[in-house]
Amino acid sequence: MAVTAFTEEQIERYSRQIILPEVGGIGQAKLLAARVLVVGAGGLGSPVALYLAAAGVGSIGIVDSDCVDISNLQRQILHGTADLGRQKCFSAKEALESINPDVVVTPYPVRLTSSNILEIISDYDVVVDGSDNFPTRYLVNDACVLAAKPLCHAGILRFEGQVTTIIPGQGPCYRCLYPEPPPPGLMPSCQEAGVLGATAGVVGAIQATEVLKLILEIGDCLVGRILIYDGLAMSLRVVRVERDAACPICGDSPTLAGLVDYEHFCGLAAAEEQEYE
Amino acid sequence: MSECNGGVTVRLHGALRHAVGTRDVVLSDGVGTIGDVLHLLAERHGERAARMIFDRQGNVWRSLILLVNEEPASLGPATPVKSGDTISILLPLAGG
Amino acid sequence: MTVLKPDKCIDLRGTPCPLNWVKTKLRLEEMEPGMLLEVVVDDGAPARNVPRSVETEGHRVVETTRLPDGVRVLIERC
Repeated sequence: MAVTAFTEEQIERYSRQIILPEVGGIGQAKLLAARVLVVGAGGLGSPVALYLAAAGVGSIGIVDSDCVDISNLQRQILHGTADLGRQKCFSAKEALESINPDVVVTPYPVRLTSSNILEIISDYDVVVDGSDNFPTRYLVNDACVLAAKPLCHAGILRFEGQVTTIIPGQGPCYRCLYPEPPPPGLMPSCQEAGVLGATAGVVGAIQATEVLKLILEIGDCLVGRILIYDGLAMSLRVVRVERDAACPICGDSPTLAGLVDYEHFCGLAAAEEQEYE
Repeated sequence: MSECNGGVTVRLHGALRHAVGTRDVVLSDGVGTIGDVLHLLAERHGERAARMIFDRQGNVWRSLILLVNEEPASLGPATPVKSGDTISILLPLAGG
Repeated sequence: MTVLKPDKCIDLRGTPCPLNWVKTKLRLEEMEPGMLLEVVVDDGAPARNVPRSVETEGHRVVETTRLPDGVRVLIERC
């Protein structure tokens, strides 16, 4: 891309990353042309979206049907006190566009389902999973595998986090790592067990780093690897994981040709015990 | 069954760490395989922890990722362990 | 002695660090290896920093010439 295609303001705005040998003007042009969908504008989605917008990712989609609650503000740094009661995806849009007017943010105030996800993700190059429940995680994984979209997955609880990058056809997918969802109600949510806000920050920033690397085609992404973060021990470990040749969605002979009912898959439709409130 | 004088350390993660109440569990009983370790944990640390380890059929939950000394356990629950080993049990984190 | 003629020139006097290097880098990206870029920067920190960054990036500083009101840096794009 010719240098004259950047405005003076863009050259200044992105100067600190253009300087990087791995970025340059060519990389910055890739970022401005990139389209990333962030699922969830909460604990993980917030730092991911903030860093992507700051870096100049040109189109960011934000999927979240929830409204901002005061208990969110401890970690969901896209939102402020003035946003209480607002839909998170619109609060996010405002925050991101105020950081960087180069970025076009498309809000999706919906829950992702088997009926809408394939159409939504078709518009994007990379998907980020910042959701907070198992059915959505399996849904996003399956949709990305079917649509051949790179997916950066992460999860957090208390002081811990995990991150992995899924490139369909190259490394393991979420089902290869975690083939069976847990029984409903068994695993505590952040509501029950708690989470340190900064945990979301660390892990979300790692996700943002992975996404930027994917767009820029630099470095080594966490494909076939899980990064395990333990904030109490302050340790970071990376564990190798293999693709499962028998995986029902990405294996050599997939048994799933399309999306399923994920609430049913996760046992929620026929829960035998009360969900934790 | 191999000798196990000094014990093995089990490093727990996520919901299992929360259910058991501690990051590390040291087992100095004779344990020969990861499966033995999992049975001991399930017996000693309450029903919630047990249900994260074994499914209703009594099989090890397939979504546990088992490591011995940071390497993937090549034989799954049948992987032998010896004194001084650290076994890590990872499981999915859904929070976001 | 042959006088080397640059293929591109940019006047970056008045442009502070690191923007002077950023603009130099962006222009170099557009050029083919072997082409010459002439950059004029302010004396002082720019005259020290830009050539250093050029070489760190892997290009060659062919020559630097002091001017009455700046420094001319001739760069070979590598």
